[in-house]
Amino acid sequence: MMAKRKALAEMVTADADLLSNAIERARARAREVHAVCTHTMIDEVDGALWGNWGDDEGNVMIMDKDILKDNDPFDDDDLVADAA
Amino acid sequence: MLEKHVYYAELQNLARQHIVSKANHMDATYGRVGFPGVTLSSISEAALVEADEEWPKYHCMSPHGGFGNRFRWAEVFRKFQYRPSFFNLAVWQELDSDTTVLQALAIGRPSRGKSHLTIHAFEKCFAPYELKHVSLLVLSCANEYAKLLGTSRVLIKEALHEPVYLEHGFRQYQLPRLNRTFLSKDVS
Repeated sequence: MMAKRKALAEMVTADADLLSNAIERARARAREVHAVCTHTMIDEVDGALWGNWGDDEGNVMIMDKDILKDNDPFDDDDLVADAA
Repeated sequence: MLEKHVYYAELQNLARQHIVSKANHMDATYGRVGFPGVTLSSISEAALVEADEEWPKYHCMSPHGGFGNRFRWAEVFRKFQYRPSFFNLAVWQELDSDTTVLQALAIGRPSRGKSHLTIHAFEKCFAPYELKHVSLLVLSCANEYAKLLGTSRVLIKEALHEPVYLEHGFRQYQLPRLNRTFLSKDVS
């Protein structure tokens, strides 16, 4: 019984370590990117407009009509390479 | 597999936090709140229920009748969620201490080799309390997540109102193999 409990505790610890490592890797990646560039699209907004939006932007919907189909061509990296 | 989901979920969380900190900085700089009471989060079950049950009440306000006339958001979400790196965003807004509403949903995914991120669906709420210029938050989050992923472009597939995206720096982009033009913006 003790051996089983110990094995289970070790498995849970290993899983928790994997997950906390994944979070730390993501944070490290963000630090690495932001060390080089913190620019965002929000920085491109004219300050005079910020929070003073005026008219709304209308219908901004994006609707891929093939969204539920398999074999999405946009999965293919060559799609963009071909266009370049 | 779970650790991959956690990695990409955290990456998106960090992208959203970065956008929020930039918005707060703009608020402080210009003395006006751009998006009052807004929270950026992952798409949850509550968001899917609100989009599929509340939003259609206001679809008559949309010139295109709304996403829900053709698809259910819950169905679209389940189609995309298998990919750990899929892009998903729910924009919530607290209108008052008792009322929080869903203002926008967006979903997409990076290509398998992570060279580009495509936004496949985006809908805003058409209720009278709609959040103006919510597209800025959605596109900024997509662009920031793409940057953290290391992709070089964000693509938009089938925008129904192109001028808004052109205003945000997207440009028409010819994809010869599909013989169609889409919208694209380099990740900056």
